[in-house]
Amino acid sequence: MMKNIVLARIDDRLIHGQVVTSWVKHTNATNIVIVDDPLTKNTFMQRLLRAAAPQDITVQILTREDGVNYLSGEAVEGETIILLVKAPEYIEALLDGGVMMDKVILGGMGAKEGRNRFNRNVSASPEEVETIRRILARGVEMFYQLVPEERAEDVKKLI
Amino acid sequence: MSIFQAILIGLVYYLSNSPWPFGGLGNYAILYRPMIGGFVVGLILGDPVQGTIIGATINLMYIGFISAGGSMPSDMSLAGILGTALAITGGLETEAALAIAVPLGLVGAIFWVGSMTICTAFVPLADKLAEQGKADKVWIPNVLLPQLIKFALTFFPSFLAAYFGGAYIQGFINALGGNVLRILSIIGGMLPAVGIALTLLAIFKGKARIFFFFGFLLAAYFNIPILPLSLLFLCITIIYMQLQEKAEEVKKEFVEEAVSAEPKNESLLTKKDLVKSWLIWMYYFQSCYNYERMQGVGFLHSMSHLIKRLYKDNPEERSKAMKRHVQFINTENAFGSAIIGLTAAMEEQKAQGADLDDESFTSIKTGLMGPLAGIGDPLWQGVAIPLLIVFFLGMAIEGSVAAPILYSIVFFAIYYGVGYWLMKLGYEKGSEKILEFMESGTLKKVIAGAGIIGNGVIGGLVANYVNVQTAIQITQSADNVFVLQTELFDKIMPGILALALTMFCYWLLKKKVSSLKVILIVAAIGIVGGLIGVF
Repeated sequence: MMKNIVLARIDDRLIHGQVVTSWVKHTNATNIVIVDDPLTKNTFMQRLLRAAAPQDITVQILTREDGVNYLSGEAVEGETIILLVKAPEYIEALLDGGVMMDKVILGGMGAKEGRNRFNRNVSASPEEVETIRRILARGVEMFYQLVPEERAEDVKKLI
Repeated sequence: MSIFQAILIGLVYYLSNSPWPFGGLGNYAILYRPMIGGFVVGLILGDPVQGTIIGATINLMYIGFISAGGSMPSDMSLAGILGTALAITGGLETEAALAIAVPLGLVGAIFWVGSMTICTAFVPLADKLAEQGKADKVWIPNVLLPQLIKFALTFFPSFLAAYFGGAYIQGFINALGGNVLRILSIIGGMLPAVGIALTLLAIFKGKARIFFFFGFLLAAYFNIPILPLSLLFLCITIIYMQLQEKAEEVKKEFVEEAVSAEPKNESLLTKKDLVKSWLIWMYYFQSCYNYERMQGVGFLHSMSHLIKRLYKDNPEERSKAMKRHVQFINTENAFGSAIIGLTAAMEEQKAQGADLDDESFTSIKTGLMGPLAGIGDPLWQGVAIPLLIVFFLGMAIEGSVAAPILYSIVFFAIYYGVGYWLMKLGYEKGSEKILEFMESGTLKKVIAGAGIIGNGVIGGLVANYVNVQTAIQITQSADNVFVLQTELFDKIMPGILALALTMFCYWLLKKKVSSLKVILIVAAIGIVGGLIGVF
């Protein structure tokens, strides 16, 4: 049995208001796993993200490789994981590594150089849109949704 | 209602959603909240006491309201403002007023999405001004244009609804007849159970749960009003936390590696510059809130004053600086002040020749914005605002107009105090101190402690303000009527039905039934129960 991922979310702000006030409570998560290569070398950001998480939540920040190993590992009784990544490429890397996800939530990707408007607060570069297509083509469902109380929009229809 | 009064009500609704002082400003905590909106509408209609009572009652539905990062569950300001206006003009009972206010809140949320979508259109203008380095024109895309749109979106519908609704509601209510009004009141008495259950969803956890029942029992048996109950639970919380602290060893496992702020050379910015820039942030950060850049244009607006000062004779650098601050940012207002202070310090160093590229600005801003909102959103919206509202709610429902006024003053002082302090921390001490402040654990302790006091007070709210009474009577003989409510339920535990209904709503929400459906279920129970004579 693989680790129990209760929410996989693409959101470049990682841990913030929506995650802390809504998703953590909605999913009853015990752990937040962030997979992001540059972050593993940035102790300032690591401390900041740990400080932002609710008191009883364990935060792990892993490289893609470690992420694959960790998330494919044995499930621990009572452990529920929220997986956060900044961009779809990490989801694809985890799927390639054999991590199982049947549903991914698209929460937010900030506008920046090279990215175009995708939907509401999501901007994506052409490569990122391609990655999203490939993820969808594998049969993984993807929904745009800020908070669980909101209606989820199927990303298939947005692309 | 006169046309003048209707215009004022339309204006109040616009203000509640706008960045101007006491409006949406400060986390939508003042006019936006029905307790305060209702009071102001009451003033306009010549009955501030009734306005406060109705507004506070409507507010019961929205205690646990959280809008984080651009999501908007329901527009309580329309519910509070228009609901109170229609209830006063129509002479409705407070509980019936609540029943008509809730649907208004659902309609209002549409304006939010509309405004966030339309405001995206102003981003190119902000970009263009940044390109040209025109720092003193940023208010146009950030304030003027979005506020005109917001005004059109909020003022006209609410003005028309107040004017025509006010004219017809009296006749409409007369036509409805007593039975419909009675059922509306039954539903209105029950609806706070949904609002309270929504709040419980966030705080009814772990060891704090018992305090919910404790608060309920204290209020149900001893008739303790909410204000003294809050103070009592404040003491209980502090005692509880002190006991816990002793039992718990403090553990710290963080890597100690400093990212410190550069010591400053002489400062190019005066205190006045900083405060002005910070106030623009506090007022207008979300004035042009849009899906593309979120608060990006607002951030540029607050920085443009400093940029003008720092790069006065250097249009090229000015344009570069403007371009790096019109980028995507989305954070919490008061806690985001730390970013304003820090960015101001970095810009100042850069103007003095420090080697800081665009990337170093972007990475610190985007790095901090999420975590600051991760603490700020739950702290304000999940803890400070609901607790303060609840603290004054009992007084307000009793008809004290001092309650909304005191609440506004106290909230404003705390909110601006914290924001100012964080701005100074960011400016003077840099990112390392911001991080230490966030790691200190004090904030998380406050959030954890709030669970105890919150549960206790919410329990008291159930006993005081959820109103479910059964009308069932068993006639044994002509002079011997057994009244189920007073002769059984009230004797065992007053408010037992209110508690049962609240727990039922909580159970439904926990089963992931949407809040809209729970409202409809409660309304259905009220209608059916009212018709067959159970209530």
